[in-house]
Amino acid sequence: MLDLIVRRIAISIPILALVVTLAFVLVRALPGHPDALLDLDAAAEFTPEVLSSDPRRPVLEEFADWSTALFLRGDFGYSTLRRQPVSEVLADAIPHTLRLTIPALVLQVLVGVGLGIIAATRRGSVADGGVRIVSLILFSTPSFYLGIVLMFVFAGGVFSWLPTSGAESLGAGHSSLAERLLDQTRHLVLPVLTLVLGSSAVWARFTRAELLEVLGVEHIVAARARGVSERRIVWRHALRAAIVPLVTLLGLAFPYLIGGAVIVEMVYGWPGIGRLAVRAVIARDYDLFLAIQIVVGSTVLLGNLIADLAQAGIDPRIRRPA
Amino acid sequence: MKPMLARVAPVVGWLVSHCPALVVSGIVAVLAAGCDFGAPTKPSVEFSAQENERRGSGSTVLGSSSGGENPRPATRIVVLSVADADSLNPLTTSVQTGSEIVTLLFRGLCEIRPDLTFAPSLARSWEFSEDRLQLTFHLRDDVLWHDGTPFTAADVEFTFGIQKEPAVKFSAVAWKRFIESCVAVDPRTVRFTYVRAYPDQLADANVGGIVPKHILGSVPPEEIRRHEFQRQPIGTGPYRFVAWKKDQEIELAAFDRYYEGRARIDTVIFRPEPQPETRVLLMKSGQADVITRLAAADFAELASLPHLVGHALADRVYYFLGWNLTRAPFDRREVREALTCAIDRRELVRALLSDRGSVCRGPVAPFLWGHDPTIEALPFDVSRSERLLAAEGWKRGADGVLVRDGKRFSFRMMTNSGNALKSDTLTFVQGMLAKVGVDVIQEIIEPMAFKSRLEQHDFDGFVGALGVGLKMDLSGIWKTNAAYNFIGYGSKELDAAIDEAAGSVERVRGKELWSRIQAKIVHDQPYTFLFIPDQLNIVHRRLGNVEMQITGWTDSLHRWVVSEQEAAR
Repeated sequence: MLDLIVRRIAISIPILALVVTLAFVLVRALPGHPDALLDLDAAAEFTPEVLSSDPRRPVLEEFADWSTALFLRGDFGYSTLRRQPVSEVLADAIPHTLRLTIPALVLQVLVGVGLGIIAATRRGSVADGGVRIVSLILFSTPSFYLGIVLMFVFAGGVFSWLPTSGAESLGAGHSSLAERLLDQTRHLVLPVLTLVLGSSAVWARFTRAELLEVLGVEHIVAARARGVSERRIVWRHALRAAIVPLVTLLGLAFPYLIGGAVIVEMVYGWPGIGRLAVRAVIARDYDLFLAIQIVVGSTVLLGNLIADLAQAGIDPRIRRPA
Repeated sequence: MKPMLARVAPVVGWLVSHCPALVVSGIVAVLAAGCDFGAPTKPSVEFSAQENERRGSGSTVLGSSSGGENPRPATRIVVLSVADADSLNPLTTSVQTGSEIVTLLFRGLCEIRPDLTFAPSLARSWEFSEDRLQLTFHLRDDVLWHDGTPFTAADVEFTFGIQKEPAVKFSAVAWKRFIESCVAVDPRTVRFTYVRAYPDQLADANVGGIVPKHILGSVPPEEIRRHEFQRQPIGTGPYRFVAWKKDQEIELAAFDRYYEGRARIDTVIFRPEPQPETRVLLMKSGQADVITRLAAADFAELASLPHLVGHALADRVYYFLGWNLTRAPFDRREVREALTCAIDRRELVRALLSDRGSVCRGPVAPFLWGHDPTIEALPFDVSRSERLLAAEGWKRGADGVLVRDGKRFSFRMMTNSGNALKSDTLTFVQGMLAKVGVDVIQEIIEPMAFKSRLEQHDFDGFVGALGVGLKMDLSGIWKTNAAYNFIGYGSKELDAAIDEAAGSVERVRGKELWSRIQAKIVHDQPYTFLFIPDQLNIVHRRLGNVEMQITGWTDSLHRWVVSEQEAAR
């Protein structure tokens, strides 16, 4: 097992370096640069009084400086968009994103897998049909649209039950701890719901398909023939076999904890990494964008590592050398 | 190793199918316990209640934190913006939200009135020397920085020096190019010396808020753009900085000892909200009080609601089509005239702006003193357009598109993404030009790529929007080598005429010169001038004394009031 961990980490390092180098080259290949002083939010794209920009340095020189600062001093650089060190910007945004994506991930797995089990064990029933149709509709609905519809229904358009956007109410810093907790939870409801509705559909359909396949294999048929109860067959035998691909799916979903909620963060004005990444690219904030790439890239590799280890834990065949 | 996940999964599955409510509430509780309570940035200097009392702050009229004889409920307004500010330092901000907030935190030597004349602000009065090469300002003696330090002429001298530092990249540094020096003669007097006399000397001296020498004086110029000051500013304006939660809110509070009297609204919160739909919902539901620069349809919807009031004023932006004069057939004046005549600009104002705007007639905005109201836009006249194109040798081909020497009149017109008004304009123009047999291919590209293509002159035509400064000057756009002359227009004669007009101290003569320049540009049609949209703003009805002016809507915010009945909201 230790051998597997070491091997996987050893492979991850050059992959990450490659990802970062590619990101560096691609982002520098884009036209424009951070000193363009372009106010992307104003109506006019140029105002004669605004001064023009500095000439750019050669890409290799910039890459050398940037990678030296990163690897020798652990310095992610300076965000031209937020005008503060990148590490401070990330430290500010990551907790917000995690606060949104952790409950969303947990809930989408629970709801999705739960619905998948119900659909598979009641194959052909109304419940199965319902799960399949609803999950297809939710899966096909883009999250920006779903987000705006939910916002319209619950936050001002039809009912005014929930806040429209942001991570907490304005001036919430002045209220008591309990009030603030309640306020933050209320702000979480719609963005989490948007993420859960879309993604749990994938989990439901995937679980259903996996479980149906497993329920047809010989040892399950044999167990039925031996008179083992249906509940025991599903929970004890079938689900255990079906869970291996689900764990892979979970590993692939892991990076979404950091970078996956871009659209929902934009729709709900959530001050997390996703919204920051979009602005960083538009404003050509190279240092910030690359730092987000490193963080998201590392999470992808970590997610894969965890998935592999979990699979090895569940399925003994994987951890044996071939 | 025992497969833990395999053990846990069935339990989780059972929990979900049997008691989902328990699972959900458990997760919410766990998450809530792990919430982020990162404290917002606090200002480095804040007065305590006792300190305010000791300093004799005027708190009896309004219920400030220092208490008073007849305190009234604190008033707070929420302002929506498209994006967060970049910096709150007047030296380094380069985006709209930043500039709007900086106006509340910092003051200049003069205040610009809505008619673009100057009124005293930090300076009580000023006078020119006889040769107009020196301008002397006499400063107020009752101005304090938000940390309590008195404001003096040394701050003005320091501000001018730091604005001119290349490393600071002050966005209006071009305005200072004719100012040779700025010297504090005594603590209440400061003198600007110019290299030559010209009409906008006062505007050039005045542009940019004054920054505190006692805080930034020891900071090397190359550090200014990264200094903490831009996140925790100290100014002399009617509002002082309280807190900035990035991408969430910027909180300002009325400065008790503002020299023109404390602002009537206690707290102003700026909230960035990237999504247009969300901004509209927040206004509808009364969660926000001010929204600016709305699209015409949203404006009409919000202004019809009983709790909101609309304020429309001409914006400082005009929209146009830019033609690449270095490429055929746009190098021919007659072709450009034909294209302009084929576009119904009145219809664009009606359809795209719901009549909230006006047809743009030339390169000088109507609010500037050099504007010549007698110059007319070219008429919308399809037959004239067709005649001109036919005279140029263009004939209709089999598919209805004009052809000359076997070449179709087909070209690409680009604009940037992210501005719906521009892309809608492009679609309308495409339709209108198709009627005279001109085929336009739309190209909507990312903003930075768009700017880059303009700089490389790599385009046939584009839909542009140009911000108009408060100064009467066309040299940044229309001179041959101007940084923003993307279209390759100009001549030595025009350059000389612009220089002469810009240097003419005598207004009557200046107006005459600017008139001739406008007539020449309108005749040449290097741009097809389209329209000037109104700036459409909405405020909550509970706000009174609301005045919005062309110089910037936050300029008079310190005079706004919240009606007393609504104040407790």
